[in-house]
Order: sequence, then C-alpha cells, then structure tokens
Amino acid sequence: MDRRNRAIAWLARCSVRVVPAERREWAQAVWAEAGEVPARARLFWVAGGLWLVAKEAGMVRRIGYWLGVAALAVAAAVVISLVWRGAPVAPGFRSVSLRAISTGAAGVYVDPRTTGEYRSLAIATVLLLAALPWVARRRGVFGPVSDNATARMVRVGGCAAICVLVLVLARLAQTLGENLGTRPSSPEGAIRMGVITAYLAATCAVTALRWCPRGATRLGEEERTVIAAVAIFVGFGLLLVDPAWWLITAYAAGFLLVTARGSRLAPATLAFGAGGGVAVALIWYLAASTERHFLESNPWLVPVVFVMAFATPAAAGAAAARRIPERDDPQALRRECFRQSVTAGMLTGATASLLITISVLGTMVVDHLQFNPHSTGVYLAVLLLGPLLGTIMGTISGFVVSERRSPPRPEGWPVQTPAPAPPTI
Amino acid sequence: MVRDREFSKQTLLVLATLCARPQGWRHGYDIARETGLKSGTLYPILMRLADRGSLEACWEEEQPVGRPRRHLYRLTSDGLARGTAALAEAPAAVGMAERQRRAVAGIARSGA
Repeated sequence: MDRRNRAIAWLARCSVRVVPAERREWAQAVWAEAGEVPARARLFWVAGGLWLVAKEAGMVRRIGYWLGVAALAVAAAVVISLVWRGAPVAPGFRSVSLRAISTGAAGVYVDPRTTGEYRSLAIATVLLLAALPWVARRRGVFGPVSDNATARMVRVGGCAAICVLVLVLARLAQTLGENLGTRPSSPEGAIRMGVITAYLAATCAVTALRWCPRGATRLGEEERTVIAAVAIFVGFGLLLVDPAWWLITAYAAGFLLVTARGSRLAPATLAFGAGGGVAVALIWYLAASTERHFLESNPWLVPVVFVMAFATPAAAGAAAARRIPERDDPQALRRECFRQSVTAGMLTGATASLLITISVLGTMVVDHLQFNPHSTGVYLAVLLLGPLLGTIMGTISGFVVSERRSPPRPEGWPVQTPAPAPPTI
Repeated sequence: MVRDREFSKQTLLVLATLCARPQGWRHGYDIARETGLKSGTLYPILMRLADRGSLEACWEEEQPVGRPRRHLYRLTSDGLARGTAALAEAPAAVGMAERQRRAVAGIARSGA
C-alpha cells in the first residue's frame, strides 16, 4: 500500500467514527472505492467523501453551535463585567425594568445601602440569564425550534432584529440623551440594558440552532401552567412599569412561540408571514425615505401605502390558509385554515412594525438626526398596533378562506355516510 | 399548484444507469463513472433511494486481494418500476446517461 492509500485509509478510519451508526456503511463505501479512483480524480472523490461525512455527522451545525456558544460566553463575560463595575443604586430608583434589575445587580455588590428588594432583583436577573437557554431548548411552549429551515430562519432573524432594535435604542439613548422609556437614564444604564438584551437575543438564536436530542424531557401540563402564569404575571408587571421593555419581551416571546415545534405552524405560514412583513417594511421605508421625497412629491402614494399595510397581512393570511392540505373532517380544516391565517397576519404585522421601527430609529442614530422625545409614543404605538392590525386582517381573511374551502352545512343537512363496499365474490 | 417533482436530474441519471442492467450489482465508482457524478452528489442520491426502498445495497461477500470489499447496489422491483416510469416521463435523462456512457467507453478504448 503506497503512502497516498495509507493516508486515505487513515482518513477513512477517523472520519467514519463521527458518522451516526445507521449511516456509517455509506461513508465506508465511499472510502472503500477511493483507492480504485484514478489519481487525477481521487482528490475530488475524497473531497466528496469528506463532505458526505460532514453532512451526515451534522458537523456544520455543530461547528455553528459551538461558535455561537463561544460568542455567548464572551457576551456573558462582558455582561458580568459591566454589572460588577456598575454604578451604585440611586435612591428612589424603584422601577422593575431590566435596567433597574441590572443596576440593582451591580448595587448588591458595590453599595452597602442596597435594600432587600434590589437583592431579589439581582437574583431574578441571574435566574433569567440562566433559565433562558433551558427554556428555549426544552420541549414546551417556546422550544425546541420546528424541524424546518423556515422556522429556524424566522427565529434567528427575529432574535437578530430584536437584538438590533435594543442596540439602536441603547445607542440612541447614549448619543441623544433620550431612550424609548418614559424616564431619562444614564448612558451606562442604557448600554448595560442593550448588552444584556443582546445576550438574551443571541442566546435564543443559538438555542434555535441547537438540534434537540431525541428523547428530550417533555414539560408536563403543570410545569407549563406554572411557566405561563409566571410569564403573564411578569409581563403585565413590566407593561405597567416599562412599556418599551414589555413590548420587546413580548416580541421575543412571540418569535419563539410561533417557531417552536409545539406551535405546529406550517413552514409556508411562517414564510408568508415574515416575507409579507419584510416586503411592507421595505416598501414603506423606500416610500418614506427622507432623501427621495417620494411621499412628498407623490401624495397619491400615501393611500397606496396605507392600503398595502392593510392588504399584505390579509393576503399573507389567505395564502397560508390556502396551503393547508385537504382533510376528512371539514371542521378541523376550517379551524386549521383559521389558525394559520391569523398567525400569518400577526407575523406580517409584527415583522413590519419591528423593521420599520428599527429603520427609522437606526436612520436617526446613523444620520445624527434630531430625536423628538415626544414621538416616543408613536414608535411604541407602531410596535403595539402592527401585530394587532395584522391579527385583525389575518382573522378576516382566515374567516373568508375557511368558509370557501369548507362551507358550513345548513341545519338538518343529512350527514353523508360512505357508500357500502361492494360484496366480494 | 405545488409541483410534485419526485426525482432530480442527477437522480434520473443514476436511475437510468441502474435500469440499464437491473439484475446486476453495481458499485459506486462504476455508477459515478457512467453518470459523471462526483461522490458527494452520488452517495446522497443512493442513500435517499435506499431510504425509500428503491435500492438494495450489500457488501461484496468475499474479501478480494489488494483492495477493500466494495459496497454494491441494485434496484429493487419497486425501484425498477418507479425508475422506469420516471424515465419514461423524462427521456432527456436517458439520452444524457447514454451519451455519458458512450463518452466513458470511448475514453476507456482510447486508453487501451
């Protein structure tokens, strides 16, 4: 055996071990014939074999996962460092926002005047950071991610968009001295909030990439009820105290929810929903761009843009409902059409609102435009009303499509029974 | 309307090669040479066909001298039926496989 064949044999022995047992003989088959391939084509043959091994062993995903884990570890180190060196808690600062939590966490260590309330908040921060990866990976309301590329893309894209929004807010607060909350804060607090939220969003994105091992523990009904109750309680608490942070949390939860395996949403629903939202945001941004003056020079575009904002969620919902395959039970078909349509409409509205807010605020940050603190409510309203409008339009189109696909039978209509099978001879 | 395309162009090439001698066992490099496909394309196709029950695979029974045992492939009766039907709908693939086969045979003759 020459040196080249020995090298191939060594490569084969090493690589075959990483392939799952049920696929191992295929990898062995490639290597078994590598020695017969003419020398000039052998390199391509070996490269193909390595690609096959990498694909079957899920190595691309594994490498991506561990790179993400390394990035998260660095982000966590930065968060801990910022929290550790944070400023002491200001007297009278009593809001239960993440900003207050992180400031409180710092205060636990650096300020002897820290109250028990802030110590509790610090513990809550640590628990939140520790529990999120677990929540997003476990079988339950938020995870694991559906086993299709569309769900992964929507989850990672949604988390990335939320991450960008928070960083834009932090940057806005730092450069313009105003954040989207209702009260002014120090730049350090905003940066800390941004870094922590970026950490949370990146954690969600990375856990979306992680393949869920077979036989993972399924959450029980009681556990799910407790988690839902805590989430609702905390959510309403944050809504009263800090609307901006509440909306961001709701968006993150929403993206996790619709892309989780348990949601049983069709990939087409996610594609139509997210794609429609991106299209609305893109057209809106191009039309409203201050440089091009499209809307100012073409006033007729204003109603067109408004009609588009209403029509796109409806169209996305209708398209999603039409893709549902036929079912034997007409009631089940109606319910499924309705569910997919409403979700697609809501996703369109949410995606469009998120991207429009990012684009407007991001433009202000990049171009150093004057930010009017009184316009804060406008962007909060966009984030709040977008999904609401999308849900309404998706509901209408879902109702129409489900009625057309499975019209309700009048009362007293005889139930069709299958014809009896012909007698066998 | 969703187009239900069962076989890709490369898969049809592989099917055309295997359908040409349905009773005989073929090995991977043999198929790759006739179809012109690289190993990174060919083996995933073979794996998919085997997963669908269209292909049966086995190792050579006896250990040959000077080389490792080969992994051998043959269409199942179901695979042969599906392959024949698919190739009847896509005669271009059969022509392409035939041209590839002639080209390989030509290279082999000139080499000899």
